[in-house]
Amino acid sequence: MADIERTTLVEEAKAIVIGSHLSAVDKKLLVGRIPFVADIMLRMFVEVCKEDPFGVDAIVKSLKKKLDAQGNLKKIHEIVKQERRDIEELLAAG
Amino acid sequence: MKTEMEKFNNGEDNNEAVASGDVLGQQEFERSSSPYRLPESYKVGELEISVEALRTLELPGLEKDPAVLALSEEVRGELGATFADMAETAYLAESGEVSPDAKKAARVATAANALFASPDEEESAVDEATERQIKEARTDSKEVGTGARFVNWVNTKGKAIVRAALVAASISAIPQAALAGGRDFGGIFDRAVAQRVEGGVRVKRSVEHINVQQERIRIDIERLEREKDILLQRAEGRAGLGEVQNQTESNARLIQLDSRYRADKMSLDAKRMELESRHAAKPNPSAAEAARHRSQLMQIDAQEIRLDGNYQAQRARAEGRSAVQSGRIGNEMLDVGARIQRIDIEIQHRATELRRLNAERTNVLIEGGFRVFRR
Repeated sequence: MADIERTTLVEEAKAIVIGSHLSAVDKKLLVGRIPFVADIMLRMFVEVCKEDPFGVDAIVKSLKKKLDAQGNLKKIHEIVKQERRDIEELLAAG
Repeated sequence: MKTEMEKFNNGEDNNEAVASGDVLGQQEFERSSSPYRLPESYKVGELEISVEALRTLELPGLEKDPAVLALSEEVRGELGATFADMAETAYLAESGEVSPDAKKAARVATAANALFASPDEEESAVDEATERQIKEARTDSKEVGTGARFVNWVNTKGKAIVRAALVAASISAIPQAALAGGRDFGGIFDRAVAQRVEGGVRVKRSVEHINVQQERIRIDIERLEREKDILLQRAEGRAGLGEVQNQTESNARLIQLDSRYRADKMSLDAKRMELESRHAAKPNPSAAEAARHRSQLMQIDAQEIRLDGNYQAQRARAEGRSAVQSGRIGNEMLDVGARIQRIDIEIQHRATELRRLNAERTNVLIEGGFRVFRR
């Protein structure tokens, strides 16, 4: 039963990516990873994409920034930190 | 009036995460106008993980991991801080306290982090153990409650992430590794990691080679663009100036021609009038004199006809010369146009090459780089 739910979730996430206007390279980037993302995170991905048609673009942008750091830990941390700061600013704005 | 902190200390706030017992401690962070709290520790099932443990990488199951132990203090700190920041972002993504915009941004970042930490199918195919571990982790994560989800993710996938970080940390070792022939990694990393680092050196070199090629092409394109600009500017100047000069010369020539024609014409008229006057002054001109007078007038008429003919011919020649000159300038412009077109084609060729190299670099990174650099 759990496996069926998992499969459905993965398929749903993949369908969102495939049906999006992302480039073939970006689609490949996401589709290859989706099967290995934990359920909770995958559900979050699906929700974000469903709530906002540009949600998937924002996720890809964030993912690519981290991948572009090419494993440079300092850069990855800087990106993660900056994202958190951006969220803090939004929190401050209320 | 109780403060938020007092309410929290007395358990009177309505924090879902605290109510569920998943978040064990809270730390209040005052922000400019929107205070919010972040957890000091998380609970995953029976397991408690403090934020401090995240920051120092003292994660359950990893304390004695030789790979983790081999990390330098700096790398460990950087990695732990990254985890903690990711955890806070994920916490905010789950929190009901934050504004919709902040929550959305946090969810986007968290989903991207989850994808970032997950291998792609190609990578997992060469590392079944990681895949199995992640599948197990996924099963465990179903028990996780509010507020602790991300930490569960960090914990269950921790080993994979640390491995990724190890390779990441080894990037800084690449130049030294390349100098050492790409083989001696001082026993810090296991064989698989060492191979990846060597692969990383190769990928890095390929990418650098592509970057150099692209730089050359960019310089070429800039040169061609400059050449094109210069040609355009010169052509514009030359066309404008040439045409003006041509018109000026042509006008001057025609004016000169006209004035000479008018002067000659007037001179003939004057001669004619003089002849008429002299002839009229004779009281009884003989037949011979009358005949000579007519002959003289006819000569003047003939001169006038020649003058008219010459004038028409010279004017036509002057106008024709101006037209020819205009045509020559036009032809020059056509020639410049053709050269610019050739430059444009060259620029397009180079731009295509640039795009091809971009695609090649992406392929190099996707095929070899991500696996090497990221995990």
